[in-house]
Amino acid sequence: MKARCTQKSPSRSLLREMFMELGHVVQQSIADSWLVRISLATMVFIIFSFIFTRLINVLTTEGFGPHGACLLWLPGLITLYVGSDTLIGLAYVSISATLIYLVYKTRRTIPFQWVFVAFGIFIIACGTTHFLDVWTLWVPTYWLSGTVKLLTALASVTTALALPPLVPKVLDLIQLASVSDERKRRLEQAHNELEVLYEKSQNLDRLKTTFFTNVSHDLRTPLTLILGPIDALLTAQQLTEQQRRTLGVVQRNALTLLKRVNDLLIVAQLEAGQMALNITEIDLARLLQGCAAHFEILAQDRQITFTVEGLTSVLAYLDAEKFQHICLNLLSNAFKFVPDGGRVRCVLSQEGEWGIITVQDNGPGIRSELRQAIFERFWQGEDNLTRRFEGTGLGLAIVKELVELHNGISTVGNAPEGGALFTVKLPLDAVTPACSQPSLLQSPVNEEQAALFLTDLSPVPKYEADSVPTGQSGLKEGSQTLVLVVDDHQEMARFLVDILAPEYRVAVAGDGLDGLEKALTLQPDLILCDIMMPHMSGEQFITQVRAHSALDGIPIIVLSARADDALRIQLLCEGASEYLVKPFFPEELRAKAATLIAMKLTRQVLQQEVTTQDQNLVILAREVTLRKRESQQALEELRRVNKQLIHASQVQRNFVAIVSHECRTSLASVQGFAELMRDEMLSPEEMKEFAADIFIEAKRLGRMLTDLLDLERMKSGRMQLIREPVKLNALIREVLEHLRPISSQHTFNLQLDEALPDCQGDKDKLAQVVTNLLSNAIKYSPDGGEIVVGSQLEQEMVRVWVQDHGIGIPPESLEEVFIPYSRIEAGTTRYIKGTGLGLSIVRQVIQIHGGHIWVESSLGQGSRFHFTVPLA
Amino acid sequence: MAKIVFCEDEKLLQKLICRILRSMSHEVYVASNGLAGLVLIEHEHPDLILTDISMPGCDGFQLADAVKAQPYLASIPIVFVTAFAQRYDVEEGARHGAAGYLVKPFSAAELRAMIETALIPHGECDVGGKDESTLYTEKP
Repeated sequence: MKARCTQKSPSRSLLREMFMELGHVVQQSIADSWLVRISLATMVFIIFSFIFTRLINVLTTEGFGPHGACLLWLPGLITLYVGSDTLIGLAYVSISATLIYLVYKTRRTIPFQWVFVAFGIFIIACGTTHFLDVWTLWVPTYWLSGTVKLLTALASVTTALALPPLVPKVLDLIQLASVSDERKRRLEQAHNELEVLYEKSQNLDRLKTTFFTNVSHDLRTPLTLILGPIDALLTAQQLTEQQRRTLGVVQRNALTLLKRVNDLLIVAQLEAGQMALNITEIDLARLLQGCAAHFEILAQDRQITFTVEGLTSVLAYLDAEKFQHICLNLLSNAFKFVPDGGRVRCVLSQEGEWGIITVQDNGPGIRSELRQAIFERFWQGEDNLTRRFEGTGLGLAIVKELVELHNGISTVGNAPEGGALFTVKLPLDAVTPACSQPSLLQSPVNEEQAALFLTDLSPVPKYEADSVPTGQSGLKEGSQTLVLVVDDHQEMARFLVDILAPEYRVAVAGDGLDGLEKALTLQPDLILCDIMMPHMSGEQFITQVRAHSALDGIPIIVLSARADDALRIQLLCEGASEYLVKPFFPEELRAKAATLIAMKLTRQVLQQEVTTQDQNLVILAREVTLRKRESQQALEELRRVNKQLIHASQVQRNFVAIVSHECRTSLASVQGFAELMRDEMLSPEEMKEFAADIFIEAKRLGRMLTDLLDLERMKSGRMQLIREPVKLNALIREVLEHLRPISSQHTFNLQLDEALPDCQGDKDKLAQVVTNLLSNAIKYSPDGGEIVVGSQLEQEMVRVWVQDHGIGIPPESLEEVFIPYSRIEAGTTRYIKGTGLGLSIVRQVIQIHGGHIWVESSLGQGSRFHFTVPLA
Repeated sequence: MAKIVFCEDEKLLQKLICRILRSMSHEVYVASNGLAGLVLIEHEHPDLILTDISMPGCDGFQLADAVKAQPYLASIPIVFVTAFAQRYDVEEGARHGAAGYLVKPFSAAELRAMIETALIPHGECDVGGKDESTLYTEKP
């Protein structure tokens, strides 16, 4: 009980606890102790017997004087007594009357009503004693007055005893009330929040629609400006066939884009509820035939049996443009899915007040569980990545919504011939024509719109036989390197072939399945693949290729229209080598293809060398192939080599970038000053100064070349050391003397072991090591500070360390500092300063000496480089 | 005579190019890195910015972006003088709004021609008045 009482003020809570304790004790004692109950009952019994024995004499006045005599009948005092007692009595009565009335009125809901009643009785009794006090001023019925007081006492004692046990219950009740209050408050708050959220989401929705509309509108303007000039160009006569074809590609794709933008615009309008109906009187049959006429050429081309049947005239009040849109969408949908040589049947009929249009084909049909979904926006026959058909998937959604706008119904079922059967029911009198427009019975079909629909459907014009980029027939001669392009979009494939054909032989596959077959038979050196393709998506294709050991090591470049990081990472993990987002620059594709092919060929050469050079390795390799577990390891090894090659190629690129940058920078000074000296009249001092500048730069160039050559020589093991006993301490001091001029800001602290024995090494090379390490320390503590150089004998080796208090090296780059040309990768800014070969040379020299080199560093604290060389 | 801010971290090239620019009687302000250059540009409002790309801290491209982001500086032509010589680099220079891209090593004559060309629209505008918002618009 105590635990449930929580009160804010400590003193109040203390008081309450005391009360509760008291109440508890009394309650307990009444409930538990028979002694108390018995003594209470005995007391009541004694009192009542006393009253009964005295009852006869209660009204007696014998032997008493009136109370007024005690007050000496002083009129003021009597008035005071009478007045105050009467007022108190009346007040008591009225209070108790109020209480009893309250209980009477609310007895169903008020808790503890009997307590209120007891309280009322107690107050009435109190009031009566006061009335009797007035009475006894004149009539000395003291026994009666005493008895009434006794009754009052009984009522008071009972009330007093009954109240404490109730305290905890009342407190609980208060607690409950406050909890329920809190809940109510929270509920209201939650309700308010919900309202705000709802409002917000409504706003967002509106914003989205506005954005949609704006973007679509904005896209139409540039599209118009693309299409217009193309039209103008195409009508010009002096185009070559090649140019005409290229322009045709641009035009078709721009038209497709326009169609999609239009679809999006319609959806946006529908969503915003801004699509108004422009009801006029129209002839459905005529409009339908107008729409159908546009598909006839296409039907002929694809040998599709296309029929329009049914009534020849159905008058209706509908929106002509929307009706055309519905028809065009239904027909283009049917033509999209019907196979060549198939059948499309369109029937118009009337059923009471309804006009009914059915369009059926003998295409793949629609599974019953998908019949609802196909009317949803952006839905397309199959799952996301294996798309067989172009387009945004908006057509049927638009049909459904336009039909609903007319209060019509659109459904889909199975055609008797196995394909899909679309039925659209439109009320002939869609909405009461408030203002009947001039009759549009002759309304021609909107030509521009119909043309757009057809662009989407028309097959891409076939290329001349010699350049058809399908199958091996399209291979270009002259290069041994073969690239396989896997893309279902013919124009895209053509574009890729055009980019790559000058340098490689190119084969084309139309989808993932075809691509896999061709990859297995042709063994290409590089595969380019799209992601969204029919039958087998790019993703499945990559997984399949990687699962075939015969195709191992063939790099794959994925071309995607999706700039989606998650997908990119996923595909790279699954084995893609590169991920290019459309649109891309041809140059970019060429560069990536070249790098990947070079890497693949290099790896092949390496593998061959390994096989031929060491017979043991061949035997080992044979064993390896026998065991699956071990072959897995080999695979991983290959991947590692691949990674190293990628790194090597990066390093190579960096090498070119850095060396070219440094050479050019130095040459700029050399050339510039030499030009000045040649062309201008200079004083002898200036001549001298500029010659010195040229000398500095030439020296820098020379040093760089020496560094490069040294490094290459050491890496290839052609560096000869002149080994002799070297006194390292003396060497360190000598180097320091040389460096003093460039290190005026730095103090050097030498912690050399004076008893250090001689070590075995090439004195010049070791001097270079110390010089490079010290220059490095000076360079990377630009604010000056202490540089510590120490030497010490350690397990048959001499250890030397150089410590600076400069900017330090991030932990992930500790190993990189020794790798040549790796510096360029570091920052985001384009900054190259020096070739960064110093530490690479140091490492090579120490390794040739049979020693070790390593570095410890923390950012902002400085770095400590250590190296060891063997004793003499 | 034009006012030119020139950013380059190589001391010798600073000296060389300053000499060439001054011999063309231009007023030259030199900075050793992009940040210092930006401060100079804000302060001096030059007629031309000549900058290296590879510089510590803030490189030439970042400098160009910062300048182009300020409406009152955006019209100042920027010429890059750099040892980045790949075609890709030149294209990137163009993307960062270069009015000229000079690859090191270069001859004094090339530098002069580049500067002259970059200054032309600005020079014409100076005749018409100092209103920067009309820059380039008077060019036929």
